[in-house]
Amino acid sequence: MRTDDMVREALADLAPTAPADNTALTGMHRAIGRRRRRQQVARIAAAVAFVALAVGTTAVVLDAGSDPSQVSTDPDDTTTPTTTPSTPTTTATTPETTEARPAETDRITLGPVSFQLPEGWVEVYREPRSSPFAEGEGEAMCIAPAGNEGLRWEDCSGLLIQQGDFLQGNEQAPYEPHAPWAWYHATDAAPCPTGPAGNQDYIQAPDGMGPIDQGFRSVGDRTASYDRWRAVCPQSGFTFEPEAWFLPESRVVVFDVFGHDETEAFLASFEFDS
Amino acid sequence: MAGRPVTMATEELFRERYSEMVGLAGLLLNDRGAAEEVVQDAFAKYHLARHRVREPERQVAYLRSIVCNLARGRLRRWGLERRRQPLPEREALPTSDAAEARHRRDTVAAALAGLPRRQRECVVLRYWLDLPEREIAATLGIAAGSVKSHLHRGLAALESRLEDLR
Repeated sequence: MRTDDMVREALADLAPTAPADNTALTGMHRAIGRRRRRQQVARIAAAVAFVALAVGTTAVVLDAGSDPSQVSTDPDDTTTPTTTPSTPTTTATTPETTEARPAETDRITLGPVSFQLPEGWVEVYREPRSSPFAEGEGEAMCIAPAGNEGLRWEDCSGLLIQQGDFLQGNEQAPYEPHAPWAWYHATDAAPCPTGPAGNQDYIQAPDGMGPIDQGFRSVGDRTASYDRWRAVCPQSGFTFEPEAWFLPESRVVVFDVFGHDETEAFLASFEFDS
Repeated sequence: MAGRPVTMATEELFRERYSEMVGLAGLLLNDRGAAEEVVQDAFAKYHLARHRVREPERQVAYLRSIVCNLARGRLRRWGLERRRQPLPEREALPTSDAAEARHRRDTVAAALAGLPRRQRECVVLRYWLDLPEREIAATLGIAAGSVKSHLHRGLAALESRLEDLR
């Protein structure tokens, strides 16, 4: 007998069967209840975190005195914040940067935005993105130090930038700011990035998958929704904190998975078509 | 069904696909009880996230993806030692048809459980559900070329481990 036929026959014999009876259906209802309760707890925790962040932001603004432009609560200048800012809402922010802009020859355009490659960095790849679970398409780009050396995530040792109707979020769902592990696009368990390919030190979120920090940050002269999460390799102990900046109007999200010194200047270099 | 607020669509899908999904999870987990728990939870997750599926024909593929992901999480919790169960010691030659059938089933189960996780998923989806490689790739979120490679390696490993059953 051919191996594939033998495997087919054996699997048919091995596969358990179970009727979709009322006992099973009740089990599903209970599972829905458990998941709903967990979602409610997560929403409450997120709301508490948001309030705490808003209070902190207000304190920062008050400390800023005559320079309220340091803080905006209006991501990409298109959405309305859920809390009233304690200072006049600014329509744009101008992040402070003391670095001179590098030569314009290293400027890259992606959809309605353009940005400056950090010195010594290159465009590693640029490819379409879509998901069987969502409509629309997007484009993903990796920019990294020449050679793409160092820890890699999605085969990129630098920054991942996505633009378009579809932006990748958690496990192929569309990207949503402040969502649990929205930086984690795989539908598979991911091995620790510090180990060899295929290692079984799968990354985990021992403290939960929600963001450990969130708010608003400047990207060019716009304001982006910002999130930072935490991931841990349980066996090696390696911990990293992926970050994301999301511009809802431009449909752009930037991921910095391992943290780079160049990121701040890179984000400041953004320019927008309109 | 007891007046619960589950849409008819989910219940219909449940009745239509529950047994298939339990079979899938059972082959991945080698544990029927755990498989039923995983599948009930998978339908719950599907129900709460069903708005993500814009195309009706993708519903079952989405459900299969959830089952595979949850089974993977369960295996991870059980730990490496359970995921990599060794092949059973060779037993005395079976003396009856029933014993031979049981021996064959146990040997195949052990061989399947000994495959790396991804290879096992591809083998089960291909040779039990008869899914084409393209559909397997969509279910697992990997490239079709990777599916081909996992299937080739998985089948070669099974061929070697099941040599005695021929």
